[in-house]
Parts: sequence; C-alpha cells; structure tokens
Amino acid sequence: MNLYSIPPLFCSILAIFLGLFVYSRNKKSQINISFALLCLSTFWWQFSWFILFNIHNNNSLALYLIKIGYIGIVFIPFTFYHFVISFLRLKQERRNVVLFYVLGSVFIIALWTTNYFISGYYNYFWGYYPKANFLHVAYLFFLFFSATRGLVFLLRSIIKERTSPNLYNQLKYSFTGFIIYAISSTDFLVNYGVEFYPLGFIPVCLSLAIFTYTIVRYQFLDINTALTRAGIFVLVYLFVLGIPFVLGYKYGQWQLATWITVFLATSGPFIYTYLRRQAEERILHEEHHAHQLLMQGSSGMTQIRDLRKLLNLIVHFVPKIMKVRNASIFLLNNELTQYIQVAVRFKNNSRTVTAIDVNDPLILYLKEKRAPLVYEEIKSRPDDKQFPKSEILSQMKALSAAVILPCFIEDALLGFLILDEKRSGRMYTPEDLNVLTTLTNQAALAFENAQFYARDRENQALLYQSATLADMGVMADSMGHQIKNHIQKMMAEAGGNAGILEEILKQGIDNEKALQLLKRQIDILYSIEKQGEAGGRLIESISKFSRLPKAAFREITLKEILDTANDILRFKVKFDEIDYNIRIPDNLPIFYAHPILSEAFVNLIDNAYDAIREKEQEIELESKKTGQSASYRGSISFTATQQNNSVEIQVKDNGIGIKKENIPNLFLPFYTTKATSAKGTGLGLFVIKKIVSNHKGAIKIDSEYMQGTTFTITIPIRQER
Amino acid sequence: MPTKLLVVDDEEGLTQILKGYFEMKGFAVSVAATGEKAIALLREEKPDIILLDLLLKGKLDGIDVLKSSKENSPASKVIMLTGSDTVAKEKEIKGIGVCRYLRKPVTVNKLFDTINEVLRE
Repeated sequence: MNLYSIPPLFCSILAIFLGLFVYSRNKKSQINISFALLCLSTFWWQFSWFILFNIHNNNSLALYLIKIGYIGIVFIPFTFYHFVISFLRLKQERRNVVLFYVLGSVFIIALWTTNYFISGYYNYFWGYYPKANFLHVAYLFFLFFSATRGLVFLLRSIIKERTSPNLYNQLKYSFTGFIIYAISSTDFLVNYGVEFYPLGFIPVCLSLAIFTYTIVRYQFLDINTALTRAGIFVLVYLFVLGIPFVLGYKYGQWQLATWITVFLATSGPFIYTYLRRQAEERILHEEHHAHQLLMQGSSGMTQIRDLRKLLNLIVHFVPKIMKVRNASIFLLNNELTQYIQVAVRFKNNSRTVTAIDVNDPLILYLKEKRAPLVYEEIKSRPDDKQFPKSEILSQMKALSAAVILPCFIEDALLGFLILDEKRSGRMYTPEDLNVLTTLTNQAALAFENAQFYARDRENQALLYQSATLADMGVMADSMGHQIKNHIQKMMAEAGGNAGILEEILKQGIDNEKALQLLKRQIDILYSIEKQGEAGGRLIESISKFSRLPKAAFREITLKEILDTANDILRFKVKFDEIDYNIRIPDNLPIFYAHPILSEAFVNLIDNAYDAIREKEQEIELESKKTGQSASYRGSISFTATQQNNSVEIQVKDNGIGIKKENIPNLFLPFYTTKATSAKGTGLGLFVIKKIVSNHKGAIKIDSEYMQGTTFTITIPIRQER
Repeated sequence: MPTKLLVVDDEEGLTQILKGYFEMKGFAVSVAATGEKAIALLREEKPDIILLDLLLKGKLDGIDVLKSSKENSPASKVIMLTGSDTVAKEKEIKGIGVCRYLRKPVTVNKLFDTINEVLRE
C-alpha cells in the first residue's frame, strides 16, 4: 500500500465517523444534517484519494476515480454554506443554498459528460492527481464566492452580537473552523501543475475536529479547550499510527513497527490524557481556582445558622467566583404553592419573575430531571412532548437563567439557584456543574441546619410562651371568675337600686324637681350597670384568648367544628326566626385544627345574629317614621368549599353591615362597634384573626352598611409544621 | 301565689342583692351558697326557677345540683348564670339540659326578662 495514501485514509475515517456521530445526535436539526453532509463530502473526497493514490499504471481507472472523487469535492463549499446558513438561522438564504446545490449538480454533469471540468490527470511522485480545465476555474470562482459570502455572514453576526456572550463565542469558533478548513484549498494548486504533496488533509482534520467537538459538546466547552483537545488528539494519534507505518513502509522494519504500535497504542490514551490535563491546567487554571474556592466555600456554609445570612452569602459569593453577573435563590413557600425569590444579588428590572407556580412546566421538568438545567443545552436537544422546550426556555429567559441548579432534600424540591451567563461568554463546563451541584447539596444541608436552629429557637420561645400563657390562663380563669363576680355584684346593686327607685316613682312624686332628680338617679344607675357589662365582656375575651395553648391541634372535620359551634349558639341564637343555611360538602377533607376554631365561628355567627337584630331595630325605627312597614327576614349562611389545598369558609349575613370608615379598624385588638355587636361573648375580631393565623390561614371581610357582611376565611388543609 | 325562686351562687354578696331585688319584684326567694344546701332546698321547696352558678363552695358543683334538680324537682326550670370557663363542661350541661344559659355579668333587667320568658313557656 502506498504510504502517501495513509493521510487521506485517516482523514476520511475521521470525517465519516464524525459525520455519523453528529447526525445521530440530532437527526432533525438542520445544523446537524448540514454538518453531516459536509463530513460526508469530505469523506468522499479523501477516501477517493486514498484509493486513487494506490492505483499504479491504470490510467482509465485513475481518471474514473478522479471523477468520482470530484463529486464529493464539488459539494464541499456548498455544504459548508448550508451549514453556516443553518447555524445562523438565516431563513432568507435557504433559496441560495438550494441554488448552490443545483449549481453543484451542473458542475457534476459537466465533470462526467465533458472534459471541460477535469481534463485528465497528473502522475506525481505520490500517485495520480486530477488535472483541472477552464470550467474548474468557474467552479473555483463559485467556491470562493460562497465561502466569502458565508464568511461575511459570520463576521456580521459576530459584530452584531451584543446580548449573548455565549453565542458570540460560538460564532467565533465557527469562524475559526471555517478559516482553518479554507487552508485546505491549497490542494487546488496541485490541480494546476504545482507539484507538492497535497497537505489539505491536515487543516481539514483539525477543522472538523473543532467543529464536531463544538457542536456535540459546545454547550460545555469553549474554544480554547476545543482547540487544545482537538490538537492534542490529532497530534498523539498521528504519532501512534504514523511512526509504525513510516517504519514499516519506508524502512521495512515490520517487527519493530509492530512492537512500537503495540506500545504506543496502549500508552496512547494515557499520553493523551496526561497531555490534555497538563494543557488544560495551564489554560484552565482560572477555572480550577474558581472551583477550589467554591468547594471551600461550600464546606464553610454548614457553619452558618442564620438562614438569611446563608442565602445572601450564596447569592453574593457564587457569582463573584463564577464570574457571573447575577444570582438568585428561589425557595418553596409555606403554603407549598409557589417558589418565591428569597435572595438576589442585583434586583434588576421589575419585569423579572419573582414567583413561580409549583405546576409550571419548568418546575415539573426540574423535578423530573433532578439535575442542573442549562439553557443552551436544552435549546439544542430534540423536543420532548411531555416537557415542551419552548415553554421551559421562555420561562428560563424570563428568569434570566443560563443555568438552574436544583436543591433536593430527599424527594422534595426545596428550591433552586439561578445563575445568569458567565461574563466571559463561556459555557458552563461539566466540571462547573459538578462543583455547583456539590455546593447546592451543601447548601441544602446548611439550610436544613439553619431551619432546625430557627425552629428550635421558635419552639423554645413557644414552649416558654405557652408555659407563661398556661399560667396566665389558669390565673385568668380564676381571676376572671372573681372579677366577673365583683362586676356582677356591682351591676346587681346598681340595677337593683334603679329598680327600687322605679318603684318609688310608681308611687307618685308631686314635687317636680324631686321627680327630675329621681329620674336622673335611675339613669345614672343604669349607666353604671352598662359600664359593668362592658367590663365583663372584656374580661371574657381576655380569659378566652389566654386559654388558647391548652388544647391541641388535631385532625378534625369542619362539620365537627361547626356542630360544636352550633351547640353553643343554640343558647342564644333563635334559629327559627332567621334563615340559617349551612353548606358543607361531604367530601371536604379533614384538616388540622384547634378546637378554639369553633369559638371563632361562634363569634362570627353570633355577630351576624346581632347584626340582624340591629337591622331589625333600624327597620322598625324607619317604618315608624315613614309609616311604611318593611318585611325583613334575617339570614345567615355558612358555606365551605375546597380551593386547591385550602378550605374556604364564608359566613354571610344580611344584617346591618359595617360602615366603610370602620372597616380598617375592625381587626384591632378588642375593637368593637355597635354593628359588630358587643352583646355576645365578644372574642373580638382581633382574636378571631389570631386564631385563623395560628391555623396558617387568612381572613377577609366584605361589608356594606344596611346590606350585610361577609367574612371569608381560608385555611390550608395541611399545615403540619 | 308568688313565684318561687332559688338563687344558687358561691358569692354571698351577690345572692343577697339579688334576693333583695327579686323580693321587691314580688318573688319568693331562697338562697344557697353550697351544692348541699341547694339540693336540700330544691327538694323541700320545689322552686319554679333555679338560678344556678357552676362554681360553688363545698364538694358539690353546679352540675351536681343540676342533676339533682332533674331527679328531685323536675318541674323546676333551670337558668344557668355563670362566669367560669364552661367549654369543658359544655357537652355535659347540654346533655342534662338547661332552659337558659347566661354568662356573667348580666344586667338585672336581662335577668328579670329572662325569668319571665321562661315562666311563660
């Protein structure tokens, strides 16, 4: 076998493998298809030359092979153009791509049917080689035209690209690969009689290696590493394969050649890896340093117990080291419905997303993959019906996320760290992601730690508080009882005496002045009684509230709670005089509640009842004035519905309602107005609100004077923390 | 025949005031501060209305008196008037049954109105 045919063979093998590999990665992408075509054309060219250089003294066969080889050559610049157009997504140029391919076919027809393209062959020292005619010049013109055109497009994109440093880099690599491949056009000189061994295979191999590495792993490597790795690979294997062959063919030293082959073949990979590491360490020294810092930082993180400090630290520390502009952390909220941004390095514009629903496609995809999501990588992958690419990508764009690092505690997605693009425009390498993943895992531990301490402190505080409150509760009970007795006595004295004076009044008083004085005394005594009543209600509220921690949260149905409430209400509310509608669906789930929730409902319904009574009085007064009687029937409705993970309860009445100016003050401690009724057990809306928030719920009020009032309470079903 | 009223409360000052007031209004009033005395009185007199507090002096409490009244003087209408925490005893009281349930403090007029309401039933 001709020694000179080895380089083309090597190159063709490289080309076909690379082409197949790239095509198999993504058979649908135009970029991959056009690149595969380029590789195919290159393979065609080089493999034909491999066979050609091995032909001796067979002119007709040689000419035949030359023409076959040129089929591949003709299309090379046009497949290149196709590739550039696909890469830059220049849809308007697609027509030109087709035109070029048609042109290529025209040249092929000329090649086979005439001598005007290839007129014959040369017989050089290494073998046969095509001899070009004038049509070849035309071909060269179109070759350089398409090449220049493609180049100009690339250049323009490079200059225009301002937004994505990453894309900018990708354009740079393509351009570099392009230029290097173009060097192989020196081979054409040989077609015109200049006798030197066509060395075009070298830049071709190098360029193909760069491109392939870039396409297949471009999301993880940048140009320096790509060049280094490709270069070292080519170098090492040239040695591994080259030296033995040279020895064998040129010097006939076959035995030596075999031994050296064995030695180099086995040590080849190690030499390659060693050289690669050395080169990368020099070149990627910066990156390694950054990784080291990150590792150090992450181990220090578990020491931090303050949650806020931890989050802020991560969000400032990581971007600095990774040379990224911005970072933000999202955590799952208490209601388990959304991921909320809890820390960010730079708050940019108000357009940035700060909350994501748990059912967002991005979150679902993140939970499925359980691995970092890299924007560029997702973009290049084929689409998945279950996780639509476009939605995920647009959400990532809204978040300005180049990479999202999830943080899982056991099976639950606790939250995630978002980093935007590196300032250098480089992609996130696999090493980057590894280190960052380690960091987020450490962060999860640190977070758990911090939470534990926070919860622990909270529990301590709560324990202390409930101990105090428990004491207070006991005290409030007995004190409350005694105070109420005192007040009752006082009221009974005042009221009783008023009664006696009223009896005296009935006997008749002649003296006008005495009569007036007597009436005034009666009023004063009744006033004292009223004051006492108010005092009594206040005591009642306080002792009720202080009893809060004694009972425990337990699993309970809303029906049970309402039944308890109705039992208490039965003593006061005359249910037959009003419309009392209770609507609780049967399938309402059990939730976690404290028995005092019944008290809250007792008070709301009691207030509603009093509001109805007051409206009745107002209507009576009105009808006395106007002489018209109005028919009014009070109604109270209690409805419960399930809304996602919560229960929504509405207590609605058509009573007297609340004036707008009083609404803001309603939830202030112990605030009561006539309309909210001070007659009942008066827990006060403040206390009701406290009870609801102890259940991790919320309370809302809607009211209009003389129309009615609606309270809406929302309580999440599961609040096990 | 004047209506018979039994006032049961551990607070003697209060029972005396109430006795004065209701006697003025024309009731025949007897008072008890302990559960034992209350039970003895209700057996004897079979009052029309019993005004009952929960907390009493001595071993027996309002619930014992309530139970006794159901047995020994079933015609008596019981009005609970109490200022203590009854959440725990709620179910029990409901089970035995009272006519009315008032929380202290109440105005004398309310008391009077309530009693008259109950008498009319």
